Amino acid sequence: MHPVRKRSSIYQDVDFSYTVMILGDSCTGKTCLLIRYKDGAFLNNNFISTVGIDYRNKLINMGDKKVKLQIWDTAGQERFRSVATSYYRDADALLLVYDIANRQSFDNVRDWLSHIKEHGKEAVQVTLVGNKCDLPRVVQADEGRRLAEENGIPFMETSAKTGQNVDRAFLGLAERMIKMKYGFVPGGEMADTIAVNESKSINLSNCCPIT
Amino acid sequence: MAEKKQTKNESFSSLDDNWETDVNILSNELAELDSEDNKTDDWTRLLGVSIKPNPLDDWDQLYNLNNQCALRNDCRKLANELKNKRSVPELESFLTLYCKKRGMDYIKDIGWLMILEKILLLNLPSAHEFNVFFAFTTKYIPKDTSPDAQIFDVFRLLLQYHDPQISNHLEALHCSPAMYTKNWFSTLFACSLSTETCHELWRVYIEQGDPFLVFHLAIVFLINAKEEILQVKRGEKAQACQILENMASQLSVEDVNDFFQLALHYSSQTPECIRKDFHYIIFGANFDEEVKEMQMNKMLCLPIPAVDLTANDEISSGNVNFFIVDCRSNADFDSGHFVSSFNLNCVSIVDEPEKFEIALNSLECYKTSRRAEDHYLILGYGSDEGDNYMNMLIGMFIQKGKPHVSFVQGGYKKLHDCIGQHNRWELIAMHSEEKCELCSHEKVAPKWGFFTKMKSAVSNTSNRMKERVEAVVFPIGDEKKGNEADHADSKQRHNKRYRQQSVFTIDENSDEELTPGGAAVDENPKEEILLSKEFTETFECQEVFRDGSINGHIALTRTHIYVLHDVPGKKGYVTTEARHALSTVIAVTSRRSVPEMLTFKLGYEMNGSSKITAVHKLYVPKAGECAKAVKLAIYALRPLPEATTS
Repeated sequence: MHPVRKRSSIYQDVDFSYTVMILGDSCTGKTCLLIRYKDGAFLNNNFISTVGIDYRNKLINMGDKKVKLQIWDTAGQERFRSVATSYYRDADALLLVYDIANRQSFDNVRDWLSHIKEHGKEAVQVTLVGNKCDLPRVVQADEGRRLAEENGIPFMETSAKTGQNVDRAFLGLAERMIKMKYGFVPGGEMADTIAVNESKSINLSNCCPIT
Repeated sequence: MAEKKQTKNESFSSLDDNWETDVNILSNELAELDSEDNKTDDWTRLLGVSIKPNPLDDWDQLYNLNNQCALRNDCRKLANELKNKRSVPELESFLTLYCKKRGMDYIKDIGWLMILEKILLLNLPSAHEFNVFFAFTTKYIPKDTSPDAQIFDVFRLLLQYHDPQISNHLEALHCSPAMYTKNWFSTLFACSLSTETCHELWRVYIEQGDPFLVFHLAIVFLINAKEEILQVKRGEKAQACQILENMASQLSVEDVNDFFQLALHYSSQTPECIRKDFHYIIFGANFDEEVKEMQMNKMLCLPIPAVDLTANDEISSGNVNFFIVDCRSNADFDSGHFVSSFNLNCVSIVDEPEKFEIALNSLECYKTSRRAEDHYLILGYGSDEGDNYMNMLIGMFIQKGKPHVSFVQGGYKKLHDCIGQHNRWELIAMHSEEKCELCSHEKVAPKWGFFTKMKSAVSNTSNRMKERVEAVVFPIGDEKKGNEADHADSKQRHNKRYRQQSVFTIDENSDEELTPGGAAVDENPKEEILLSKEFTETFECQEVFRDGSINGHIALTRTHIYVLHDVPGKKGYVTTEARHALSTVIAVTSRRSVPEMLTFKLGYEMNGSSKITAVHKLYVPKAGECAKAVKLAIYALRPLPEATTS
């Protein structure tokens, strides 16, 4: 009756507009990723859990095109899951986040994936993100990558604290959505061509394009 | 204090008449043990068991519970605790019968033993002990305190209602209410307090007689420990629980009264309907499974049943007055909304964030300056999809640490239904049956006869009206300044109105027309005045209330509209019931079925949408003429086009 409307092009001069949702267990750093991406800052000592759902938007330029990302930040806690689920069907892309320093959050990724299959759009683009890669890891990068490959989705490790790979995670999603719809990416694919410099030790953080 | 006394009186009035004689006999016979008697008397009287026979005198003596062994073991422990003043068989009989009476098996660690210990330490006459224990546990101890029990969801929402900051922090620590309140709730603080303090607390507690107070007592502990808890870092939730446990154990007998008064304060700041709705779920002797599923754990904030807004005359619950924020779109709001609600189109959170920010700010400013004490009540569509944006607003409020936020369960849809059932359509302002989506669904609604309709149509008591009128006087000019961005939008709707927003400047030009008091309502509304020539037009009418109608007149001056009531037996004399500036007339509508029935809606504009502050339903035989005269009077007041003002 009142779906999430994408009317942004009416109000703002943008060429494309997409809805991105950030999912994952609580305390995996979803809000921090968003704040890092949106404002380039790190929420130090952020103890406040997201209540229900939060929203930000970000305008990015891809070549000569303006793309607006409407980013929905969900609460990770179990009790908010049903609230968040009602937003799923409007999401074009999902960032599924776990905490590489927290095994449980990684183990729950499978649950999240089946949840997404059940409630999300069929053509939804998903990226698996292992966040907090500045912390001592418990989950090996290999495990993350294998899980992503099993499900045919790209994988990368990020750090909201240092900013590593954060922009690329979002940019990669935007490129895939545009490519899927229009067959090309204005200005060329940036997310894949950025040199992997900081992540030598990880070596896996390349965002593999979907096939 | 006054409050407490009142409740006390209530509990007195509900008493059995027999207790007084009981006391008299007792006090005569045992004058030297006066204080002991008072205590006994308090307990038995307040729990309503003074004349109940002791069930232990007559029962089947079968010790055949499924876990009789566990019970016996626990009874041994309890006997130890009581320094063997009570024998194990005595305790076992007691608890076996108790379990049988409640139709359940003995459950270890459910808190009963702790409560029983404290009750036995009261040294009540043994004939009363069983009944006191039974009444106390069934009335005041929640029936389910397992970790997934609803009681903890209710508590979480209550805590969040009073202090979202501390609630959010504990949530972020993954410290759920079940962890720190389980023992408090299952033993009514017995496990944390010294025996003396516990007895004192329970004494005032049963005197108050409100089982819900346990939540508010717990909230007092939490808010007292707020500073300390906010210091606790992630991953140290055990520390938070410890802080709370210490807080409770430090309570001394002298503190009980202050502690209790604080809890009463929070209790008075909780909507009354919450208590009503959850009492059956949480308390009582019955363990039946048929309790309705409320899905409390999924709720973002406290639910207020829609029916509670339609059942009474006041938009409130207990001591709490609501400030209703309607999250629906401007268009839906304009085709019908709850009276005195405020529109905040939440889709604009996503579509036009800047505009939303401005609208939210001006709403908050208005609330702070005019209705600071009121509690936010959020109203959405009542459908999952439609309420996505409402949920965002609630999340935003709570994240910001705004206390006292609740939402209408079932949203506008349910509210509309309830209003229909109670036939109180006067509660929906600007209701246009053609545009209202909900009405068009139920076109085949039963038709009421005209007189039933008239009887139940309007319930505007004049007192309530005066309050509303105050809001009309509220300077709209100020409000406009913050919202200039909205003007473009509101133009789209001009054809619906009698005139544009700029009409609101008229009041400044017509100062000389205002009565010396300047108030919109006559200081002495019952003053009898002659229906004189100061009015440009008068029409005979009947003002229609829910429970009847009063003969009167509707009268116009150049700047105001008056609702006058005739003075019985004094022809030509009237009293002023209401006086509104013509600039506040938002709409005059007539019912298609009853053209003589005119509805006047009065209010003001904010953010380009109208806010209704008063409604009059008038049966006017010359309705056509009257409506025309009102239109002309409003039209005559329109601001002159700028070109001609020079």
